[in-house]
Amino acid sequence: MSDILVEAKNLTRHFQSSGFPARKRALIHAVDGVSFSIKKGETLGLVGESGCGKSTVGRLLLRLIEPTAGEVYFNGQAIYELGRQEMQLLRREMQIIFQDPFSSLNPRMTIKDIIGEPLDIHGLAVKGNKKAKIFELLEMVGLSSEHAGRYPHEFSGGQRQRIGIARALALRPRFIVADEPVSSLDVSIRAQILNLLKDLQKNLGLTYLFIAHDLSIVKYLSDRVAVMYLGKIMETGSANSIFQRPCHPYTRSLLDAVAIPDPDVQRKRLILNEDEPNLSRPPFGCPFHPRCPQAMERCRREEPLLMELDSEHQAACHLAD
Amino acid sequence: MALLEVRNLKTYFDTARGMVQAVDGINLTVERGKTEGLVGESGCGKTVMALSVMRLIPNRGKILNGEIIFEGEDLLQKTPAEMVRIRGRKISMIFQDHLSSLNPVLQVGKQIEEAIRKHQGLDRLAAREKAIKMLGLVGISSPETRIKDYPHQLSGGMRQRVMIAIALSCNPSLLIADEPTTALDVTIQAQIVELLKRLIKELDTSLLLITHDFGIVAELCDRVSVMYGGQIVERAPTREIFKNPGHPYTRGLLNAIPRIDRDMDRLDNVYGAVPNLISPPDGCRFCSRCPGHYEICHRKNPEPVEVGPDHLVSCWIYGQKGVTHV
Ligand SMILES: Nc1ncnc2c1ncn2[C@@H]1O[C@H](COP(=O)(O)OP(=O)(O)OP(=O)(O)O)[C@@H](O)[C@H]1O
Ligand SMILES: [Mg+2]
Repeated sequence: MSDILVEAKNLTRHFQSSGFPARKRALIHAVDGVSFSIKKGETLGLVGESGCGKSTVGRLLLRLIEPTAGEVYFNGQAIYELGRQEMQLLRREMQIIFQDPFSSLNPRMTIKDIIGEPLDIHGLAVKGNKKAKIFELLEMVGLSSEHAGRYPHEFSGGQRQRIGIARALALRPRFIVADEPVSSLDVSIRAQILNLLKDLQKNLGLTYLFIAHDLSIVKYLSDRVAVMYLGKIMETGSANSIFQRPCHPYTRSLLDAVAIPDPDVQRKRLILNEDEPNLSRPPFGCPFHPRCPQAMERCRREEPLLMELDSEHQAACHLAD
Repeated sequence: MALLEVRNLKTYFDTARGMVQAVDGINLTVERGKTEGLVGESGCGKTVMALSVMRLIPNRGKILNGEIIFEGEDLLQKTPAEMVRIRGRKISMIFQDHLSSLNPVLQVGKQIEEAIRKHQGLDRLAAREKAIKMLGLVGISSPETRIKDYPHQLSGGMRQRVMIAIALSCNPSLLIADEPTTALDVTIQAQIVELLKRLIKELDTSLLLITHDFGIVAELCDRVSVMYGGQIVERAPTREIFKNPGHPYTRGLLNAIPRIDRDMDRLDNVYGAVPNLISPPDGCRFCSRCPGHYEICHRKNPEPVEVGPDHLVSCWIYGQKGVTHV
């Protein structure tokens, strides 16, 4: 059997932007021909700035939205070809943790109902056993059974994120999409949640897609990394190769941008040409060329494809040619 | 003499649930031409501290105690009218919710001009010229045409540049920047950090920089104060804080940051969560999360002790004046 759990092939999703009159509406290429695979038990870190399509990829992998084109295989199964019931069965194996622990929990439900809900939906709740299961889940994420009867507003941000994680684990999934799970949390709480995610992965053999915009967090958790820009993958490879030998100027600028908490580290930054990109009007040629300090004539004309640099490192940049 | 010296400041909020002790006996000094950092986690009172200096505390809040000595005078003794003048000419603030603090229906050039005319009494033409100059200064290309843009036509990074231009247009002697990069994308954050670095050098402005990001402290600050639960637990020159952190909270935080410049197997866990500021615990506020604590920590809040040059730590590990060791 293959050691690949999740595979995306040429995954594409367009959105119609809102706008009035209709001629002002644009087609946004949120995800544009993205391919990657995630091995069992590993973490793929997906990084990029806001609006680059990271979350859309996460939702496509779980089929929370339908693709415009492309395929996703889960354990070898093409998930977009599955019927409702088959999909429902598969959902047990794939879960998501959201960024905002404040809005992702129903304020009118108690913690035990929030965590127990997926068990009910999937008909896995056996009386008596359900309560034990919920307590076990609470313990697993560092909460205790006393918390079961309380409501979300009684918890801090970090605790709510723990509840979100317990809920995601209720069905014993094999694959979890973590969509910026710590970006609204404080430093000390963020460390607690990152450690928890790491421990859970080890103990339960989970596979993660970890979505983030902060490269230092991605470095802490990921085995492999994919860097996205305007709906496309610019560079991907083992965490080692991406952090030691970044090749794409966009990856380098992201790495340079991280402020290092050490006053003795003096750095020269690769400063980008322009501000944020326009999502509805992706440029011709390389999507990154208007901001790229190293852009050449060729970059304006011709879009670079992802090319193999070595067996575990690919980049889409003419400079790597 | 220091440009700004805050002494024993207390700002509380009277809420339905009780009195929030948001700023509880804080001392803070900003030296002329230097950048002072104020770091701490969410809710520890950083913004309330800054708003107190500006005398812009919202309704239910009240400054109960302390002095805010700015250029030799106590701001707490000023009339509201005097404060308006000081805010326009001497102290500027970039607010935390900066992305929403521009007027959406007014061209950005007009907004800068307005600030300039109101506080410096320049005529329209001179104000316009100055507005263009300021936009150029903060790195906005072709400012002559950009001044006609409305805020929604600008990206988040550009809007932040405009806010910085407005704040600096009156040549303030003190700039207070409350989380100036937080809502921005990483690459844009880096641009704004570089911009601030350049501007404070060029304009010789003193900066009080509020952030939760130790990376930004390392890049911009000369000295830093670490805040926890409405109080300052440690203050030291920037290099000293990183190389020789004295308070268990500072140490814990520094080891809880994932690093891009080194491999980390595991982050330090600072267990538990921040204290409730309505009825904070007796004694040291960090006590319940502290890895090693004495009996006295539960009873009595420690006073700052000088543990090195310009390095103050409020922790019983260092004993106290009069109390040898615990
Ligand atoms: N208008 C208000 N009314 C009541 N309580 C308030 C008010 N403003 C702030 N507080 C309380 O004062 C404390 C300090 O808040 P403050 O906004 O200064 O924190 P902060 O350090 O700036 O946090 P952040 O990093 O999230 O910006 C918090 O407990 C907060 O709930
Ligand atoms: Mg604040």
